[in-house]
Amino acid sequence: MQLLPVRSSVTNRRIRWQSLDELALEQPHGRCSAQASQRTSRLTAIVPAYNEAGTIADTIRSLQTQTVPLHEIIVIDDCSTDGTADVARALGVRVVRPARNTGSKAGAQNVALERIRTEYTMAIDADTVLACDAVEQLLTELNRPQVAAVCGSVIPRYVRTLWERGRYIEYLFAFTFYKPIQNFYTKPLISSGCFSAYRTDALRAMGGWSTRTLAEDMDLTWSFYQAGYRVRFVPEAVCYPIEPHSFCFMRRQLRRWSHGFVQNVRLHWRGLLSIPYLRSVVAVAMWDATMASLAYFLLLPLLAIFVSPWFLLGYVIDAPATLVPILSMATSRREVVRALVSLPAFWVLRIVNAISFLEALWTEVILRRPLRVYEKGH
Amino acid sequence: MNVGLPGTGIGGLFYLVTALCMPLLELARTLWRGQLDVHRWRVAWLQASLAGAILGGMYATAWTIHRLAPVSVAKSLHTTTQQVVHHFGVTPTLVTVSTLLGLVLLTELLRLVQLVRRRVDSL
Repeated sequence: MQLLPVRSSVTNRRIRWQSLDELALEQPHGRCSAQASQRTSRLTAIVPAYNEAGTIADTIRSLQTQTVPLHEIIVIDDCSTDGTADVARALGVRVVRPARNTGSKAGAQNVALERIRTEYTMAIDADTVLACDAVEQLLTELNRPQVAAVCGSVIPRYVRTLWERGRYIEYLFAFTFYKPIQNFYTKPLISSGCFSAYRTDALRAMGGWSTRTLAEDMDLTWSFYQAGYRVRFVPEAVCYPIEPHSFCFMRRQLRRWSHGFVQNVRLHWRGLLSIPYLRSVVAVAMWDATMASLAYFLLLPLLAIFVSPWFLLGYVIDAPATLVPILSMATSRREVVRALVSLPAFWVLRIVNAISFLEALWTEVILRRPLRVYEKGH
Repeated sequence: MNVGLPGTGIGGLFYLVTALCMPLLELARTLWRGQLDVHRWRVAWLQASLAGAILGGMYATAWTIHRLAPVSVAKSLHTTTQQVVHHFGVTPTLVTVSTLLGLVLLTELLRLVQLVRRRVDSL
């Protein structure tokens, strides 16, 4: 059963997990909307969409039933051919359609940015739904001085296939252990593109979302740091995207992410050197990803063949250590069995991660052939 | 291991160390500012506790391998169990710790070089 977090107010940081079915029954007239404030927030949500007719209605409804009503919801229909715009219009939101396809999520979001008149802007993917108080949670941090961007926790909406299960474990681990540490040191590595809110003037000062890399969210986050802004992570603000369900879609998404990471490191490394903690985080991530890929495909097989098969344990030797944060989060979500069942998928996914990263490193750094075509991950 | 990126022990070790430092840093911050931030303390203790539990998990893994692996591996490699423990346990740990240390120092050195260059350019 899928669980979503519910809280009585932002001052109460305890999270009670609620099933998606329960939430569907309660919204829009249930618990969430009953708490909804009468005041409208100074925040506009933008939803870039390309052929998302099947998922965008859930996204819009989850935006419309937030505990803090949004000023406006703008859907950028990036020349869809499946009736995405009709679905959005039927739900009463503003739809903007550029003259031609912008070619990337960043491009579509920039079309919307020109139309924003509020102090804050939120970007959310058209396949993502929010916990009913997610925006309220984000705004508590976004109101602080110098904070330009805030992001929340991400949990896959569906955990059924091998790939969704692998990603589910990755998210449980990262949002329980890594991200709170990065946030404590005031340097979250990335304000996730699937659900983040920004101070509009800071966003405009950065020139909006850049299309120079394939990871526009990472590019923007690192640009904010270099410009002296702060980025915060709010674990209580939870979003539920649909993750790639098949190898084909996962490979596309990982290809984009890996190339985007390498492109951003190449683009920003000089600027990042002046940012304490983040410079170490990025250096360690880059080194770790490179060495891990080589270890999986070269070192461990060679050692297993020429020294001892016991070296094959290297593929899963970190399982007990990895399980600690995963089970910690899974217990609070009452999903221990699901997490344990999903663990083998995580080992499979990280091999695919390694292949994607090596390919990105080879193409971007050695061959100097940067990937420019934005491919949707689902 | 960040989402979408592969990882080995070096990244994990980095976060373990920084998590274990959190209560110490928060203590210094509290003493410096003279006021207690309950939320930050809660996060610091939670992450440090997770790090402690992860270290416990690593110890349990090392203990299990120490119990199970050496005899059979030593036989297949015609060596002593002590050497096997060294190869499987001590060497990888030393390599990981020294790599992380070297990497962080290298990053700081690059920062220093960048600072010096900027000073020289501004003269």
